Amino acid sequence: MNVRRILTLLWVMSAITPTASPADTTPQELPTASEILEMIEAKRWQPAEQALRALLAREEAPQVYDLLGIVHSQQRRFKEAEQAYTRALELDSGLLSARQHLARLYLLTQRETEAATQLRAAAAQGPLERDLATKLATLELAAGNVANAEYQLRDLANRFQSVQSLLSLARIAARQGQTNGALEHLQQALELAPNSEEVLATKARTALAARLPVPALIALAPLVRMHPSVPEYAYMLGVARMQVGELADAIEAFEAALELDPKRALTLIGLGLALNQQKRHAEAKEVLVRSLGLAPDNIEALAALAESKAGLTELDAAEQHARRALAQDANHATANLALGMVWMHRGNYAEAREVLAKVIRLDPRSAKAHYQLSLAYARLGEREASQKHLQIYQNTLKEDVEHLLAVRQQIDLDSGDTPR
Amino acid sequence: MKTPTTMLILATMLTLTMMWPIASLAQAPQAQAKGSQAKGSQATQSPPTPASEVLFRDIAEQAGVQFEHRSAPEKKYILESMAGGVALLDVNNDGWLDIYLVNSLTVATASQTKTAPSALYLNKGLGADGELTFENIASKAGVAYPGWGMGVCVADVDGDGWQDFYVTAVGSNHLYRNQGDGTFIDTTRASGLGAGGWSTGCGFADYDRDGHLDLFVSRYVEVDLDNLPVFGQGKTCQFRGIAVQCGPRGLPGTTDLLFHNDGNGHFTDVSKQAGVDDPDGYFGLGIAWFDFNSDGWLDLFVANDSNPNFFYENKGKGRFEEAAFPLGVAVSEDGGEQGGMGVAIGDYENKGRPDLFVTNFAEEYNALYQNKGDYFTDVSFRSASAPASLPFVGWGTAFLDFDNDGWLDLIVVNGHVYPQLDNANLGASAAYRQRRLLYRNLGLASPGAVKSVLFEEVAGRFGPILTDERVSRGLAVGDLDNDGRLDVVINNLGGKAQVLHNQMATASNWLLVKLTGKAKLTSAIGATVTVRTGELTQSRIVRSGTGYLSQDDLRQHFGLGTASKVDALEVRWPSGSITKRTNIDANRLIVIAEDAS
Repeated sequence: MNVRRILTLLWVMSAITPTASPADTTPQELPTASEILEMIEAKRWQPAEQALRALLAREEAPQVYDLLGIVHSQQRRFKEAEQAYTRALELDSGLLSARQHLARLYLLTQRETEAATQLRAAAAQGPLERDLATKLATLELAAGNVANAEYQLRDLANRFQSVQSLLSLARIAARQGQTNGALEHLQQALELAPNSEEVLATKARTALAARLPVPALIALAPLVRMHPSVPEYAYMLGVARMQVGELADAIEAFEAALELDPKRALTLIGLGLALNQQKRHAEAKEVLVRSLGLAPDNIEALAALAESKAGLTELDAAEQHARRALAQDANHATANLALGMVWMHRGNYAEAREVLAKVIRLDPRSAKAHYQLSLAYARLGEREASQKHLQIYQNTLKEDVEHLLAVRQQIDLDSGDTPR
Repeated sequence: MKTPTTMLILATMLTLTMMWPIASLAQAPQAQAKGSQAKGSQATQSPPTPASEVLFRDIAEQAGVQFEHRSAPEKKYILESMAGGVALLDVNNDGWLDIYLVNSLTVATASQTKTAPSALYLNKGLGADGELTFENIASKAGVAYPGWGMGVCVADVDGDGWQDFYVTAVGSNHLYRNQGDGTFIDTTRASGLGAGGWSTGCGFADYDRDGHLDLFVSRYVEVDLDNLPVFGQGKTCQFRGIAVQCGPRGLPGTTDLLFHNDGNGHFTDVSKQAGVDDPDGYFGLGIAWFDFNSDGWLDLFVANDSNPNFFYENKGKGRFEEAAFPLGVAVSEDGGEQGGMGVAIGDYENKGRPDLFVTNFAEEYNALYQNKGDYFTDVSFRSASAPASLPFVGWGTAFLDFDNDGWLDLIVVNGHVYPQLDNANLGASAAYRQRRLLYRNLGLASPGAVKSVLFEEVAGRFGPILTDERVSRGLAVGDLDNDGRLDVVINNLGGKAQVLHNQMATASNWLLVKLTGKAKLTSAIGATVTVRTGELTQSRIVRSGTGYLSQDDLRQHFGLGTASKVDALEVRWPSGSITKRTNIDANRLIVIAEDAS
C-alpha cells in the first residue's frame, strides 16, 4: 500500500466517517474510519468489506462505493470492483477518485478503450494522477489525438517537472517536423536532468535527423564522455562531425564505434560515406562491402558503394551498384549522382546530362551535381546552360561555405574559418 | 660582356644541327636497356622494380652544393612558408647544367638582405673520379641577393644566346641578364619588371608571337611587413584548433601580371588588356605556359591556392579568355576549390597532347587533368595517381621519364606549412615533414572499360632518399651529368638542398634534345619536340617556369626504351616553322637550330 493510496483512503474515510444521525441508534456497532483503514492496511479484505457494506447499508455514499471498489480490486474481484466504482459514479459523476480507480481497473484488465473513456472524463474534471495522466497521453497518441496527448504531457511537465513528459513532447514535435520545438523541450529536460543519457541521446538523434550538427555535438560531447562504451553514441558523433565538415574526426569516431561493435551496418556506411568524401575510395569500398554483407539491400550502402567504385573508375561495377540502389528508389540522389559520374567518366555526356539534371531536381543544392552538369553541357557545346549551372554551382558553394563556417563558429570549431 | 669566342660558338650552334655523344656516354647504359618500349596493354603486368634498386643518390654535399634555405623555424607568418624555387640552367653555355637555388628572408631578418644568400652553383663537369662538382659563384656573378626570394624562371630574354633568369620575391623581383662572362647584370629597373608585392610563379613566353619573350608573374597575397596578421589570432589563423600562421584565406589577395616585351629591353604591363590580371586577387602560385589545343598560341595555366585555378586560353591578338571551369581544370571533380601549388605539363599518354598535373593541399588530391584536345578530364583517380597524394601538401612536381622506358613518370615533393601540426591529431593528413611521391607510368590499361594510363606510386622501392620526411618546395628536373638519366634538385624549406643524382642501372636508351630558336627566341620557349620510335610517339614542350616556382632543364629528354634509334623527330617552333629529322642514334644529345632547317 503506497502513500498515495493511504492518502486516498484517508480522504475517503473523512467522507464516510459516521456522523451523528437522528436515526442512528447504535453508532457504536459501526467501525470507525481509522479501523477500516487499519483493516485495509493489514490487507484484511473481508472485515474491511463487511465494514464498508455495513456503512453502505446505512447510507449509499459514493466514497464508500469507491472504497469498496478498491477492496474488491485488491482481491482481483474485478467485476465487483467495476460495479462498485460504477455505482459510486452513478451517485456522484464528479467523483474524480472513483473515475480514476475505474480507469485503473480497466487498464489492469486491458480494456484500454474503456480506460481511455474514463480517463478523458476524469481529465475533464481535474488533474489526473501522474501515472494515469502519462497513460492517457500514451493512449491519446496511439489513437492519433496528438493535441490531447500534448495537453497531458504539458500538464505533467508543469505539475511534476517530468523529464519523461518533456521527452515525449520532444518526440512528438520531432515527428511533426518541429525540430526547434523538440529541441526546446529537450533543453528543458536537460535543465531538470543535465546528465540524463536518454535526454542527451534523444537530443543528439533529433538534431542529427534534422541536420543540425551544433546541438547534436553539444549533446554528444558529454554523452560520449560519460558512456564511452556505447557504439551508437560514437556513431552519432561521427555523423555530426561529418555534418560540420570535420571528416578526419568523423572517421575517427566511426572507427571508435566499430571497435565497440564491428558488425553495425550503419556505422560502416557512415565510415564509407566519410571516406568517400575524403576521396579515399578504396578504403570506402572495403567498408561498404562489409556493410552490405550485414545489410545486403541497404540503399545508402549501395549508393555509397557506387560512388566509391565510380571514384575508382570501376565503372561497370559502379553502374551496377547505382542501378541496384535505383531499383529500390529511382529518386535516390546519391545513386543518381554516382550514375552521372559513371557517364561523365565514360564520356557519355548526353546521358550524364540527363542523370545530373535529375539529381538537381532531387537535390537542388548539390554543388557537385551543378558543377558536373556544367561540364556536361560544356562538352555538349551548350555554353549557355553550362554557364547557368556554373553560376548556380558557384552560388551554392558560396552559400554552403558560409553556412558551414557559421555552423562551425557556433561550436567554436577552428574559430569558424580555416586558413586554407 | 660576351667574348668573341663564345659568340663564335653561339653562331655555330645557330647554324648547325649538331649531334655528338657526350663525354660520359661511355658510361651510358646502352647495354642495360630493358623491356618493351611501347608498353601497350601488358604494361600493367610488368615486373615491379626490385626494392634494392638504386634510383637516386643525394650528391649535394660531396658535389659541393651546400645550400641551406633559411626560414624561421616556427613559420609564424605565411611569408615564411612558401619559398623557394630552384632552376637548372646553363649559365656559361658549356653544356653542363648549373643550379640556382632561391633563398628567403624571414620577418625577423627582412631588413638584413644579406642574411640569406641565394646560390648559383656552376657545374664543373665530371672530375677525375667521375663525380660531378659544383662551385657557388652567386656572389661574383651578382645574383646572390635578390631580397626575399621566392621563385625563378629561365630564358634567353634578350636573345643573345645566353640564358638569363628572373627571380620572384617579396618586394621587387629581379631580372638577371647573363653577360656571357660568368656574371649577370640586374636589369630590373631598366626592364620595368620589378613588379612589387608578393610575386611567386613566373614564366617567359612569346604569347603574341611577335618574336620577343614576354613574362607572366603570379602573385599571392598582399602583405605589409609592418602590419602582419598576428600568429594564431583571428579566425583564419587556426587549423584544427591549433594556432598557426594566418592566411592565405582571410588575407587580401593580389593581382597577377603579364609584361609585354617591347623589344628594346623594356617590358610593359599589359595584364588588364590581355585579360589575365586576376582582378579578384586569387592566390596565385605555380604557372605553366603551353599550347593545349595546338592552335599555335600559347595558353596559360595558373594554380591558385584555395581558389579555383585559372586557365587563360590564348585567343590571339594579345587577348586571353579565362576558361578554367568549362575546360574542367578549375576545381576538383566534386567542385571543391583546392590549394593549387605546383604545375607539371607532360604528354604522359604519348598521344601528342600535353596533359596537366596540379599539386594541392593535404586531404585534397593532386589533380591529373587529361587533355582531350579541346578540354580536360579529371583522371586523378582513374589514373590511380590521386589516392597516394591525399595525406600530403604537394609542391614541386614534374613529369620525367626516370627509367627511360618511353613513358613519362611523375614526381612530387611535399611538406606541410604548419610546423605546429607535428603534435596534432591530423587524421588522414601527414605531419609537417613529409615524404616524396614517385609515380611510375605503367602505360595503357583499361580500368573500368576506359583505356587510360595508370600510375603506380613507387617511392618506397627506392629507399629513404624518397621516403625520408622533409619540408620541400621547389623541384627542378634535368640531366646534370649528361648521362641520359634525369636528375632532380630540390629546395627544402629551412633545410639543405638536395641533388638527387639518377643512378638507375636499368635505365634504358635515351635522347636529349637542345633547341636553339632563331632571332631573339634562342631558348625556343614554346617549341614542341616530337620523337617517334616504332609505334611510340612522344612529345615535349620547352617551357619557362615549371613545377613550383622553379625551372626544369630547357633541353628535352626522351626515354627510348630498347630502341637504339629515333625513327623521326619533329620540332614545331614558336614561329610556326617545322624542323624534321630522321634516323637519329640513341644515347646522345642532339642540338637543333631553327635556322638549320
